[in-house]
Amino acid sequence: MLDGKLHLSTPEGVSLVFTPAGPARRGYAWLIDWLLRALIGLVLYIPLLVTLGRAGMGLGLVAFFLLQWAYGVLFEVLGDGRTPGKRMLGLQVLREDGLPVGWRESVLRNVLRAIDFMPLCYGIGLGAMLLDARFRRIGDLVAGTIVVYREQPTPLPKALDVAPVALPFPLTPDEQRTLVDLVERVHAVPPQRQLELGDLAQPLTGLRGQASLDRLYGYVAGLTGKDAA
Amino acid sequence: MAVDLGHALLRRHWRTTYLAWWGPWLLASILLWLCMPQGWMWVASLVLWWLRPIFERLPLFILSRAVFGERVTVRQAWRAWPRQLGGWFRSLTWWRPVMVGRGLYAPIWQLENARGTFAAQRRKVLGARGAYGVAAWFGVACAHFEMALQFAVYGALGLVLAQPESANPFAFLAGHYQDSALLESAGFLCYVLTAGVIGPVYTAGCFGLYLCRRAELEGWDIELSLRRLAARRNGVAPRGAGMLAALLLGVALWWGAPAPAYALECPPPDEVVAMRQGRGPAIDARQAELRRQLDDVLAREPLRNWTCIETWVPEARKNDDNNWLADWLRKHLKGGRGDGISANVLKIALIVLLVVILAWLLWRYRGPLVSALQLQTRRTAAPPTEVCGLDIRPETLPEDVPDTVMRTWREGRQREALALLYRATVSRLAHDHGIELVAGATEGDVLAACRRSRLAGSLPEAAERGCTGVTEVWRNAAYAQRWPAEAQLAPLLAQWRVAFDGARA
Repeated sequence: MLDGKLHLSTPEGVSLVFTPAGPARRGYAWLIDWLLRALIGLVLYIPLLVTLGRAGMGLGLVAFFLLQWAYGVLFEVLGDGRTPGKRMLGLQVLREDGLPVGWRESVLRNVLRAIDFMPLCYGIGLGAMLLDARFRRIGDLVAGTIVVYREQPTPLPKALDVAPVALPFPLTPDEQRTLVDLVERVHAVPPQRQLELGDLAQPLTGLRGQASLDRLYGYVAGLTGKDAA
Repeated sequence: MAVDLGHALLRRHWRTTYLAWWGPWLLASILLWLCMPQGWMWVASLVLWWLRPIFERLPLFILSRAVFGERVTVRQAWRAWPRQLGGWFRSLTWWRPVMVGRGLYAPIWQLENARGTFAAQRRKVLGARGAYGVAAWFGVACAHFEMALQFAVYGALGLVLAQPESANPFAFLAGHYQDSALLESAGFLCYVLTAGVIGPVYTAGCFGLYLCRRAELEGWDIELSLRRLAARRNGVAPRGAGMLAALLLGVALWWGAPAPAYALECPPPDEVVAMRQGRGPAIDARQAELRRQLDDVLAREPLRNWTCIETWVPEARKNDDNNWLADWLRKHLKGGRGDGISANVLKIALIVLLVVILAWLLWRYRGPLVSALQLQTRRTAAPPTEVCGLDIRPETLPEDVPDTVMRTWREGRQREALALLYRATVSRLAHDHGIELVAGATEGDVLAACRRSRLAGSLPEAAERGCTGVTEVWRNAAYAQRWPAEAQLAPLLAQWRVAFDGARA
């Protein structure tokens, strides 16, 4: 199946799913970080230059150096793998095995930015991302890290105000989830299509159209909390 | 995420997609390159950019079929291309070429074949809930990727072609190549290359977004699950999801190929100036005019005999280290004016001290350093003492395993014999062949580990065959009470001896 996801399993047999993030989204995050760094740099640099003259210029250059090289590392290691840009776009840096990044990985992947930047404007990094199945740039490949989407916790399904109905036969967990999903999303679907979906559920409900949908609501009410009547 | 899914789809079918794109793309580029007069290459780039909606229909055609598992060959795609061009005029006019998110709507025009008011309604529905915004941002990102790649190609050219003494790797684009035809062609080539790489990426990303929107709007995934449920209930294979009809398109942002065409200019060098000043004053206005013309000609390529190069020159060292430390050192060192120890001795002593301190620091912090760099090779864990509840330590095995097995078998203790055989097999695998096993491994795990090692080349095939044979016999006996005949056991033991004791003998 082609779902662009990365499946890992821990020694305890727990399976973890990550979705590596593509170049576009990472590009936006980089841009936000870049703007932020430029802003911080200017805010530090101009007062230093005005008050301290040439010594201030030196200190300012040190600040720029730190912003260039330490910014990513510090935010990634201390901020749960997320720089402000990544935080805004819901991205996170992880080790390939799903653990949080440590100093070693973060320093490596940020130092190798220099390679990814070559020959100009992240040409090599972009090429590597387009070629790699997990969108890793050279720094990620060397440090063994991936950038993934941070999963938003899914809100709990709302309890339905419908009289619960018992299921006619047992359903697998996946099928139960499908039913809950259907009831959550069916309002966004055009009315004719809703009726079609109701028809498709006939083997389960034994009814067609709107009646079938209503019956499904009843099943889901039972699945999401209320005791079956 | 939907965009990345499109990317994964493209990756799976990249060969067909890129071949299909590059055929007509290259043809059009070469034709344009041949047709455009010098100085008009930017028009060629612009025309290619303008025609991109037409080219984008090829990857869209291929990917839309690939989604439903239909493999389209490059030839089929090209043959189908003219029929996929419905509505091309609209695609190339009005606001559509400059619409960054057009990729999201392309399937409406091309695949669904929608037109007029209906198409407008479809666009409104599909672009709702921020979908068009995502597509537009993706278009902007792709445009920037294209630019970034163009800069990168320029940069690579600059790094390769720059003069070693030049301070600016891009000077070649201006200073050394006055040949503007070459510059122009290089710009066009960069555009063809980068747009040819990013074009399918943009189409695939937007198509992923389109699929996601449709799935969300029409509950495709729910339909599939319901069908699967019905199939489980009725024992009927589910029908595939309906096939899509077809159609449409747009354009990505592109800024003209960046060509920093500045020429380095500098005043003539001193010799030339001296030569000019060495001439007497002009006799009359005609001679002055003539001189001016001559200077003019001589100041231009190819007659001028100097070039302008920007380069690094070491600054003259300022000898102003007159502080107290320098004074004190001069006074007390032999190399200076004083009469103490020689400065060279001091220098060597300082260097030795530095080396010693560094060595000491490395030694002192060797532990953290080694662990930080993970230099320490992972010690391969000693094999466990028991696997599947069988003691596999080699010292617990008899000297001659096959003989002992046969003797025990003939004594009627069949189970014990086979258990010994299996235990010896696992023990040899773990200790002689370095197969990594855990205490809780099952017979199946051992077999799988053997297969992995054989595929990795670290286990001879005979050993794997031996293991497979013994495992089969052992499983049948231990779990199904199906005992092998003695005639079957003898060749197995012979095989075992070759596979596991051959190396020891």
